[in-house]
Amino acid sequence: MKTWFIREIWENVASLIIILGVFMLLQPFSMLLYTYSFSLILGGTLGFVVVSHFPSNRD
Amino acid sequence: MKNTLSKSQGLSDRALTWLFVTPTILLLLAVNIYPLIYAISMSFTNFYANKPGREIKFIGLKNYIRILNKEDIWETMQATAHFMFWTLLLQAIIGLGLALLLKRNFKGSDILTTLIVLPMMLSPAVVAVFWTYMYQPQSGIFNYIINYFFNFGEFTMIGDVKLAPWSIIIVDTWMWTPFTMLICLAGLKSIPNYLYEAAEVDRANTFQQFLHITLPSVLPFLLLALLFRGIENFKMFDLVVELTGGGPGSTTELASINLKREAFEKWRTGYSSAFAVIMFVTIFGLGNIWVKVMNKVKER
Repeated sequence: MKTWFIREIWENVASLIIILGVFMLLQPFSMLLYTYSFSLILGGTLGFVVVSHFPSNRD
Repeated sequence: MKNTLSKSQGLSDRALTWLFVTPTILLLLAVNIYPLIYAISMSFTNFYANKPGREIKFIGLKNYIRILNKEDIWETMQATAHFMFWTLLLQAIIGLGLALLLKRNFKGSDILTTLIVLPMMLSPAVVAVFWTYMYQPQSGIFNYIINYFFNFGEFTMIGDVKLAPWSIIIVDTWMWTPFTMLICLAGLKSIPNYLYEAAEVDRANTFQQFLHITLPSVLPFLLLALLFRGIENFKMFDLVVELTGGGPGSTTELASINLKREAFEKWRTGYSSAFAVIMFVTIFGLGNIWVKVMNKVKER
């Protein structure tokens, strides 16, 4: 159970969500992607702040 | 003994720490935290700063929904993306190339490094003013050099709809490539020589050494520099405003320029606060990734 809360893994997931959100915000292909981009960036950023308090697998 | 010392000095270590830290905390609260919280609260209202008598209504997420469904804002985001993509690509290629060149420590490399780094030290306003002169269609040295080699005839970089986005890309690349170069140079100098010696023993050619030793070692440094420049260019304002003013039309109107227009020309404070919050959260998110990458680079 404890292995689920590893900082490194979840930080990577949150980083990917942020990068995906930034791509959606800046892409020139679809208005729909642009509309939902901020939700992803906000979710990823808040997620990053939360998971950065998880214990590291080096601890 | 400790108590005696503390009593004789009047203040405990803890109290002394708070005495030094409190002014900084108060200043940060007043200058950073309070305006941020105020802007976030304003982003949920229909507040206009030029209409102080008007009733301020709470309108929930309406400002955010408007921004994220408006094609004009989407277009400014695309202009920002175009600017970011090309500046980052050019700065990565030229910066890494210059770093590889300067790593060789040839005669005069120190002076060359100083000369290359000079643009980075100038104020963006100064850079924009003298590039405006360099871009002059009749007397500008940039146009003269291009015409000398390619003979395009008379053209204007800042006034042309197709060329204006490239004019800001060229100036930003000229100004900030030295930054990428310096970070890459630091990365290159941290590669131990025995790796290259071992590769030579294994008969690896120069390209193989670059591909398997230099590039993997310098990549985290390059990524760090690009992430930093990406954050800076996402909120780019001064250089572009001074150089093109967002024009011609709105071809070089980046997100931050549009934000300034909404806030201080149309005075839509609530709406522009929501726009500012969107930009802030994006930069904050990217900043978190930047810190993470930086920590990884430090560990290496």
